[in-house]
This record gives sequence, C-alpha cells and structure tokens, in this order.
Amino acid sequence: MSGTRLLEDRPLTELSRDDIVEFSRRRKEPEWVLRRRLEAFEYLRSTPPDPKIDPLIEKVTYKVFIESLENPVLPTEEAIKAAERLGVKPEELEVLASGFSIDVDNVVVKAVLKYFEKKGVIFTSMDEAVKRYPVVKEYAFRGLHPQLNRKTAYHVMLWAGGPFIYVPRGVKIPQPLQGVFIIGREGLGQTEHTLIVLEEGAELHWIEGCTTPIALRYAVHLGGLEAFVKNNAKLYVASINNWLGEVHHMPVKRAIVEGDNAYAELTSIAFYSTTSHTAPRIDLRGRKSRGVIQNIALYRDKQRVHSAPLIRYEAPETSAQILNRTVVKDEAVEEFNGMLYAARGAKGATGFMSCNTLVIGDKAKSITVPAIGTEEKDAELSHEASVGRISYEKLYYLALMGFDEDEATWLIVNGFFEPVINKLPIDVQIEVKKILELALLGH
Amino acid sequence: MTFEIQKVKVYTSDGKEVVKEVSLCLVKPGIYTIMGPNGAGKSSLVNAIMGHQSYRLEGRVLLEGEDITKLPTHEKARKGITLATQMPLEIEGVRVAELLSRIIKRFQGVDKTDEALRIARELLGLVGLSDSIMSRYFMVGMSGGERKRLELARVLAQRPRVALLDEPDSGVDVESMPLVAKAIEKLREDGAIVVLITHQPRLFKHLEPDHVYVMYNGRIVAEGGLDLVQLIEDKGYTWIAHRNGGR
Ligand SMILES: Nc1ncnc2c1ncn2[C@@H]1O[C@H](COP(=O)(O)OP(=O)(O)OP(=O)(O)O)[C@@H](O)[C@H]1O
Ligand SMILES: [Mg+2]
Repeated sequence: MSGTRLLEDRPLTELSRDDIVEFSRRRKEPEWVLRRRLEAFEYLRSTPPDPKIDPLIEKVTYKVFIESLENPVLPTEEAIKAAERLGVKPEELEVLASGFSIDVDNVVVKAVLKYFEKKGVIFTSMDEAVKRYPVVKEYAFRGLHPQLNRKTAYHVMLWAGGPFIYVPRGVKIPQPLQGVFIIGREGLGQTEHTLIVLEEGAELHWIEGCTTPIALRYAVHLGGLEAFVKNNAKLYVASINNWLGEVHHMPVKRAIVEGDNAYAELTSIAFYSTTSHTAPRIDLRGRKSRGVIQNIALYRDKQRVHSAPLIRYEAPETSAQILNRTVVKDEAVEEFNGMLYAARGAKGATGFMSCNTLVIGDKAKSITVPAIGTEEKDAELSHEASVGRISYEKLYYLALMGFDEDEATWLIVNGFFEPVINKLPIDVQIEVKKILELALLGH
Repeated sequence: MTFEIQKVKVYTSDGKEVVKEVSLCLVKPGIYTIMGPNGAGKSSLVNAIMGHQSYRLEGRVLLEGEDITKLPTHEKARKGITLATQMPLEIEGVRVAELLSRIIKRFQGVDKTDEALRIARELLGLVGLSDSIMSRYFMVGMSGGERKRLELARVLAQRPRVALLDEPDSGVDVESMPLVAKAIEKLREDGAIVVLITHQPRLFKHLEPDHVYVMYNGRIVAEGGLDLVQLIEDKGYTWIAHRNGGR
C-alpha cells in the first residue's frame, strides 16, 4: 500500500497486514523482524479483544504513532531535564564510564558506553541491533513471543526503539546502566523494546525511568522488556515510572533465568498512571536459579491498577519471592493477583509472596488475591498479606511533634516503604524519596 | 510565660465526665507536679488540652493569654506546647535521626542537617541514650525505659514553652533517673512551664518541684510543696482527698 494511506488517522487496533509490512519497510528492518510482527498481527486477528487492553490501545492513532517515531518532538535538553527529574545525571554517568540512554518517543538520542565496550559489552538501540548483531535474532521475541497474550502481541507488532544490552561471559558491570523513556507527545503509544542478554557469570544493574515532561491528555505505554540470564549470572532491573496526565501503563516484562545458580530481580516503582496493567514474569529454568519480583507503588486519585506478577519454577531447587508493597489513597483501586507456580520438575522449589498495603482514606481500596500452584509435592510455597490503615493515634502523636496531617502521612508512607527502598541502588532511593515528597506534599 | 487552664471539664466520646473542673494558672517557669491515683484523670486532662479527638473539653486553655483551646494539635505544638505521652508509639520505618532532625529544623530554626543531627545526638546524650539509637526506627522495639527517655529528648528538641510530661519517669531505671531529672530540669532552666505527672516520689530526690497538685477523681483536691509529697507517702491519696472534702 502507499505511504499516503499509511498516515491516515485510524486506531492502532485497526491496522491491516499491509500497514505492518509498510511500517517494517519504512524502518528498513530485516525480514525476521517483520515475520515476528506479522505473527503478532495474526495472533491478534485470531483472538478476541481483551476488554481491559484493546479499548485503551484503540484510542491511539497510527498517524501520531508514526510521526512521533520519525520526528521526535522533544529537543534533547528537554529530554535530559525530564531525565534529571528521574534522578539521572548524564555527566556523572559518563564519568563513571557507564551507559546512559535517553529514549524520546522511542528514538535513542544518546548512548554512552566507553570502558565496557572494550570488554565486549553491547549497549545500543534495538533499532540498530536488529540490523547489526546476529545474536539479537537468537533472543528477541523468544521471551516476549507474539502468541503469549494480546498485550504482548500488540507490543511485538508495534515495538520501536529501546536498548539492547549484551554482557559477555564473566563481565560484571558494577555501576547501574540507565535508560530513560519519555513520552513527549499527546496520543502516543510508546512501545520501546528492551532486550538484555547476560552470558555466564555476567552481572548487570539496569535502571529504567519512564516519564513525561508535561501532563499528557492521553498516552499509552506499551513498552516491553525481555531478559535472558545464563549460569551464575545476576540481573537486577529497576523500573521507575512517574507519569503525568492520562497515561495508561501496560508494559510487558519477562525474564528467563536459563542458567544454573542464576538470578533475576525485577523491581517496579510506580507513581502515577491513570490505569496500570502489569504482569511481570520470571521463568526459573536453571537448577538453583532464583527470582524476585517486587513492586513498590503509590496509587492515588482515581487510579485503577491491576498487577499480576508471575514466577514460574521449572527446575529443581529454584527459589523465588514476590513482594508487593503499596499505598492506596484517594479513590484508587488496586487489584493484585500474584502467582507462584511450581511446574513439573521444580523439585524442592521454595517461595514466598508477601503483600503489604497501606490504605489511606475510606474510598481507596485494595483487593489482594495471592495464588500458589504446584505440580511438585515437595515444593514449599507460601504467602502472607496485610492491609493497614493510618491510625488517628499515630497522626495525633506526630501532631504533638508539630507535623500536620499531610506531613505525618508522608512520614508514615515513607516509613512504610523504607525497608524495601533501602535495599535499592542509592540513585533510585534518592529519586523515589523525591517523587514521594512531590506526590504527597506537593513540593 | 503564662499558661492557664480555666474551668476545664473533660468528657469522653461516650459522655463520661473524666475531669470534673480543673483550673490552673501558672505564671512563671517551673516544675508543676500533678500526682494522683490511677484513673484520676491526669492523662485525660493533658490529652484533652492537646486536642485529642477522643475527648471533648469544656473551658479554656490560654497560652501567654491567647486562647488556644480550639487549635488543632499540630498548631498547638507549633505554638510551643507539647506533651510527652504516657505511651509513645512506634513510627515504623522512620529513623530517630530523621524525625529528630526534622523537629529540630522546625523548632530551632536550624537549616543544616548536620547541625540538626549534632543537636539530636546531644539531646540523646542528655537522657543517657547512645548515638547508636539514631539509626533505629523511632521507638520500634525499644524498651519501656528507652522509650520514655527518647520521648523526653523529642520534647526537648521542640524547645517547648509549655511541656506536659505524662509519667516521663515510669519504667526508667535507678541509674537513669538522675538523667531524666536533669533533662526535666533543663526545660525549667530554658524557661518552660513544665507540668509533670508522676507516681514516683523518688524522682524528687533529684529534682525539686515548684508546686505539687493532687488530682483525685477528676479534681484537684490538694496543693502544696514537697511536704505534700511526704503526706501522700504517709497517708495515701484517699485520705488527703477526704480530708480536703473531695469525694
Ligand atoms: N477514651 C476514653 N474512653 C473511655 N474512658 C476513658 C477514656 N480515656 C480515659 N478514660 C477513663 O477515664 C479515667 C481517667 O483515665 P486517665 O487515663 O486520665 O487516668 P490517669 O489519671 O492518667 O491514670 P494513670 O495513673 O493510670 O495513668 C479512667 O477511668 C479511664 O478508664
Ligand atoms: Mg495516665
């Protein structure tokens, strides 16, 4: 089909097969990438719409999607400023010889990686990587494959940008690498794809920040992250989301821990979005491999949140944890359906799921339904959940110290998060505290 | 400095009258002790003065002539009146250092965190707590006596003009008692009016009160000097109350 038809204004949910072919051509992608996009397209065509997902994507128009990919609207300085609001300082990172990338509307505008490139570390944009590195083909869309579910299929069909990080055997990167994904345009569907491969014994901390420089009337975040972790390798991912305006947050995330004794940790720190549908997943396939999914979040206003983390054990002596620590205030509603599942072969698997929620006010709600499933008799999986409220006695006690209700609430909320936050990288800690202060005290 | 409570009656939310009519007019810095049996209404009185929502207070509370009866608790605190509670609460996840330095910054006009922390350590030293407590969560897992001493340090951090101390000495060991007494003494030296609720005459080995009141069944039934404390020890509260026409 012709390029003019391509820019007609119509929803992303109504794209044709030709549109996808054209989209891939415009991006000069290799054939295999197009094939994956088309598989996703077929999957979407053959499955019924998901009432929680499709209506949100439907509101994004193809025209805006394409335009923002091809002409990022934000000047670099503004993007950097937005990045700094997430606690990322480019200069510092350069000095530390680490990586930094800002992704504005899916285009990587800055990538720095000096020292580690010499050791074979690859840190580049996925757009580039699919063309240049054969290793990408081996992994990309294997974890987040087009037939996983509709959300993932949309992501695979429409992905653009995002980083590719490859850490070769035995290389440990002590300083976190950071990436910032910014939605800078109204009506955008952001679909960056992050692919991480850690070879045997490699170690990586990846911190990604997602934000908007201005309050948006409407945007959808459909970013994806997939990771592959080999023997004895360790991966730590922290995603900080701090949206403004009407943003629907529906990322797809999956780490496949293939190696023995390997470790993957997916931490999500979420501060603002209109709706949020997350289902991060870790698959433990290596013997004695370990996985942690943790979510630290403050939900407010009329936010609607559904989170369904899943850890699937497939190998012996694997262990895992899911931690959900959230504050729900105003009229926000959180639904949590975490799951630990020990599949056949996960002999001696152990796991623990812990959900602690602090509810502020009478209208906020949290519905927590942790689930555990096992096909192996000796798997030891357990869970606990608590829902707390801020007592008047505590507010009164803090008032005796001169703190008004907002300040006292802020202190209590901070204290509630403290034990989990103090285990995060220091950059993340500082940033989270700043965002919390802004969210609860308005300064 | 003047602190007055005029014809104060206190009711619980279910309408029970727990303080029947108490007036106090304190016009200079000093340590004003209230003693009385369990259930006399001492804690109810000071919590009602601070504006705790479980109590309804009738009458007036004046600080330096200003009627502060209806102010919300945090504003009372900011005006310079605070209470060391009988049972300090745990503030999970908030470190002693953080809380004290915030208080010191607000009440002592200190800008720099380093300076605030230095002052905090000094105050903890005053009540005999070691520096290591700075990094602990506020009151969490602390012993009864540690809590009382930390609570006193917190009150000192606020440099109050009026300090209501609800049994700051209970649960405090023999060796720490002189330190607690000295900390209370410091409040007086700094010009505060201290209302000291206590059950322990032995505190007065280390500290001389300016005046002693006996509260019994919701009323002040006697007042005097240290000799009144001796009388309490010899005869008990009931005897005193009956002698003075209380019920
Ligand atoms: N919120 C409340 N609801 C119901 N009753 C209350 C409440 N607060 C206090 N009371 C009652 O009022 C009376 C006075 O209690 P208060 O705590 O003031 O005594 P106190 O003099 O401080 O005693 P103690 O020496 O034991 O600390 C008690 O009988 C108590 O049970
Ligand atoms: Mg009492």
